[in-house]
Amino acid sequence: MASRPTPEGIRITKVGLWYVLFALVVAIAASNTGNNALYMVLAMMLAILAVSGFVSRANVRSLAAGVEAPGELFAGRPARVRFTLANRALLLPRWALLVTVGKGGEQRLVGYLGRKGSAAGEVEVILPRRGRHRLGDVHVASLFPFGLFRKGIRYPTVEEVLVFPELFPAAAIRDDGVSDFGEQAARRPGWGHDLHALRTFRQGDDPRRIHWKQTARVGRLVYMERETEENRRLAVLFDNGVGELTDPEEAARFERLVSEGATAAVDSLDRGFEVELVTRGRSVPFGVGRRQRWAVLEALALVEPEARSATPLASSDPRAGELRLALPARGERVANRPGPRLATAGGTG
Amino acid sequence: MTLAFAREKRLLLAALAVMAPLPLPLNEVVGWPAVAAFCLGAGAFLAATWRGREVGLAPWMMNVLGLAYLPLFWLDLRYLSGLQLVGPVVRLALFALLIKLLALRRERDKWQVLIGIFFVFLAAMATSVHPSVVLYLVAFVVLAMLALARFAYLHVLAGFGRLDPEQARLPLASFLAGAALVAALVAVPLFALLPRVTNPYIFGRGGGTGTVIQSTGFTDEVSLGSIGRIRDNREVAFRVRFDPADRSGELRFKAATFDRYEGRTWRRSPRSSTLDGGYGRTFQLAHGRAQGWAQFFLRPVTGGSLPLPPGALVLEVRERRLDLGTGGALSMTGPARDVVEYRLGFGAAPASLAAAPQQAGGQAALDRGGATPRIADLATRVMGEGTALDRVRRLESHLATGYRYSLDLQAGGDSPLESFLFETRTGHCEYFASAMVVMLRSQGIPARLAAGFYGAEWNPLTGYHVVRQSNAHAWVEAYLPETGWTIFDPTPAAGRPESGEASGFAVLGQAWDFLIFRWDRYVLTYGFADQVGLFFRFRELWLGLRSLLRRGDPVPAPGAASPTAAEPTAPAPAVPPEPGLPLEVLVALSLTIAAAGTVALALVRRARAPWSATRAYRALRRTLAHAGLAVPDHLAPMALHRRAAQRFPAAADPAGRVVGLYLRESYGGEELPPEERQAGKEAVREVARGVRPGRGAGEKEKKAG
Repeated sequence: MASRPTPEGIRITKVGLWYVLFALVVAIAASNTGNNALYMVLAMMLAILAVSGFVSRANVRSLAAGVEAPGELFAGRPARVRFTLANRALLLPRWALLVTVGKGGEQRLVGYLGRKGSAAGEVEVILPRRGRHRLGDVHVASLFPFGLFRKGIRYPTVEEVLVFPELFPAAAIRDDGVSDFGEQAARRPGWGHDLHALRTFRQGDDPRRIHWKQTARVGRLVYMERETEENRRLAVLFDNGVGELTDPEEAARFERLVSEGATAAVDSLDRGFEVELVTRGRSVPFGVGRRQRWAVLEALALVEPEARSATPLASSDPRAGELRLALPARGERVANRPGPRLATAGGTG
Repeated sequence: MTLAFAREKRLLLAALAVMAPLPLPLNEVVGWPAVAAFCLGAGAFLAATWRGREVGLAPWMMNVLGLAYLPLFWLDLRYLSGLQLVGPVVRLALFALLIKLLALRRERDKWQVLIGIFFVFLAAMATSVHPSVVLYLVAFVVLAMLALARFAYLHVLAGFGRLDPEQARLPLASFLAGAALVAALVAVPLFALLPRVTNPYIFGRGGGTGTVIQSTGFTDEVSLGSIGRIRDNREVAFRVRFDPADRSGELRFKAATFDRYEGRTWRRSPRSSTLDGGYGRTFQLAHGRAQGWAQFFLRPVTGGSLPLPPGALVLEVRERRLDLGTGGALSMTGPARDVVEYRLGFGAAPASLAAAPQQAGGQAALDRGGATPRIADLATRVMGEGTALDRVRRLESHLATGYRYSLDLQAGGDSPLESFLFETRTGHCEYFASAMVVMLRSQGIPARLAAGFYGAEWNPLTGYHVVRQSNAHAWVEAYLPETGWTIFDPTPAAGRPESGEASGFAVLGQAWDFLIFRWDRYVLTYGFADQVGLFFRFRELWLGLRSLLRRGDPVPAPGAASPTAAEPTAPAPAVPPEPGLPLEVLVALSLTIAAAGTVALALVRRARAPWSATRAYRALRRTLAHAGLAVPDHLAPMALHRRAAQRFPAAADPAGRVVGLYLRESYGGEELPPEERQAGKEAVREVARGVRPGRGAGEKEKKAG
């Protein structure tokens, strides 16, 4: 349940400062001359100031605010968040509300909200870090009525979101050769999609895989043999057994490594690979599709540094391609199989 | 920045501009021609804008017109206004405002025009004294609130890049009505509580309220005919409320006496002594038991005379000292500027405030100035033989019945009294009274002219009597051995000012009078003394309430301690010595100083505290906006950084640092350590240096080199 809204103070605007200055001038003139007509003006100016303060305060209160997160949120990537705003006041409408989700983010204007009325909109938010976060509170501010003050209030939200690691452009990862992992052909027949070989049809073969065009050409049944899909498997072995990271630079490299793993996994999944994620303490078995993508990203979003360990991480399929991601000791390189050995430590991608 | 939503802003400003100077000609600060010319110009601008036509003076034209007006201003000041500054300055302000209005092009111009309008409005208000100015104030405030509300909303819309007037619609009517009502309700107590440090000052003609009253009996020298000149004047001189309210019998209020007649002018009786009322401000005028009390509200008059009914015994007034004339009239030591409020206890029989003519000033009452042989002869014939009282009565009757009352006089010549007595046989009260005084003196009977007011108009709405200028009257006080100073009134009854209760349409007049009275008393002349009174009244209420809550004691009614008609006249109550500064003022001053100190301390602390990343980010936005970068409200942090980096490469790095810190603090929910927050502050300063013209990339390169 959301806690109570928190006022964010009142900020005087430039127009408000001028207004106060003029009130001061009138006050000096009135007290100097004893002219009660000027006192009337001064009283009215102060009354307007009070009304302005009261109305601006009331204008941002008694609202019900909520946010709705998008399906996937990646660190550092703009995302559209839907907000709703409802006026719970019985008497007063609301005017000119400036709505922000998270402090200082993109603003949206809700021009008028009638009694018991509601409005909705979308704002762009950027969450800089992966992990479990609460979506920013809904900040409602207003210059109403006279632009003398800017009054703000924060409506806490209970919406918790999982922010996936930042994704780099896939090309940057491929340039490092990471994309080749799992694509080294196994050259073995199997039940995949790619063509392995054409051969004479044998008893027991699946008649659905008869290549009718070749059959017609050569005059005998030709069977279309597919390559095994085991060669389109990638095991992302993310070694988070790095101990406590006290050095901010090391921590940044660790984060970058997480992002590289996420990028490689997402890119591979998008290209039809089966992807497995192995970390210390948690593994996501091979799988494909959106569900796997979500599972891998979730695991990487929540991965934290663990105690150092000498035991190397291993895939459940020894023949699958491997992407080893680890924070190496300075100068050390990480072996990946198969293919060239690559330095995949943070900061290289 | 060019004016967004220009049409609506121009319409609002033009409407305010037309409205602002309207009271000025009514107050006679500037004449109708100047205001009419201004209103025509502003009205034409309004009409053209309404029709969608673009009206705009070029800046050079504005400057030329401004310069061209300077010699006109000098001529105005030197010849038209006789070096009186107010009129020419207001006319100059009107001219400048009109020119600025016509040259309205940028957002900045809008505020400049608004400031000009505000000062014209201030001039109009400051010179107004008529109650209708409240309507003007409310109307202006509503329009100004509408303008401010619209400007604020349009500013927000422009920040979002929405410049379509259709999108700018906002239902504000009910809000404005409510806000104006609440503001007016809040303004009333504020008006009462705002500290007054000087006496109320009224600037302006009075526009019907007659803040400067020229009245007979209140000046040191009164020429014959002065009363006649003001008998048509319906201005209120004072109001009086009697306790008990049913006041029967004639109402006569003496304000001054005149001893010496010099051809056609009376000179006021000199001062005989100064009465000291002590700290209680209570003046014991005569001995006796007060049969009734009267509360007077005397409007500002020249001379400071206090009109008193004949039986005055004790007087309570906020004056430490009063002057007592030889004729028994009381006056303040200086002229009154605001409404004078005083309370008077009076007895059943007229009490004489003056000594016998043998004592001080006695010779003046026997001065035979103006008593020509012809007048003396007439007096001898009319008065005949008998007791002094009989003889005086005979003369009074002779004048009252043998002469005609008229305000339309042709009397003149060297001796207006002879003309009155022997030729025209027509005059008003001053002629009748003057003739009788001169004739009595010619017969050796001490007499003097008394001036003041006779009769009053009963206002049932308020329970007080209204005494107007038209109630001004003159009569005779003669000294008789058997009765002392006695009042005689030789003016025919038909010529005396009327008393009574008005009816019909006059009820409206009374209602208006009720309003005017309160306006004068509680608005125009509201001052520090009223605030002190208000404070004590609240204190009394509070004490009463506290006592009721604590013990259940009955609450004494406010003012119960005051003497009433049933009580004997009490001597002046013991009053503590007058302090140098009232305690309330000291308390208020201390509180003000404490509040100012707290605010100052908070400001210093705030200035010294390390900035939060959010504050640094705000400062960054301001800095970039000042440097000319478009920073609309909706611009997100990263976009701001990109935009800043593109425009000010030298500031890109520090701006990026500020944005980074801000993102961490606001989105990541991190609490940044003080060093990082300080770094944000420093980065903002770097940005400020980087965006300065002439510095930036080149300088950076130079430094790097």
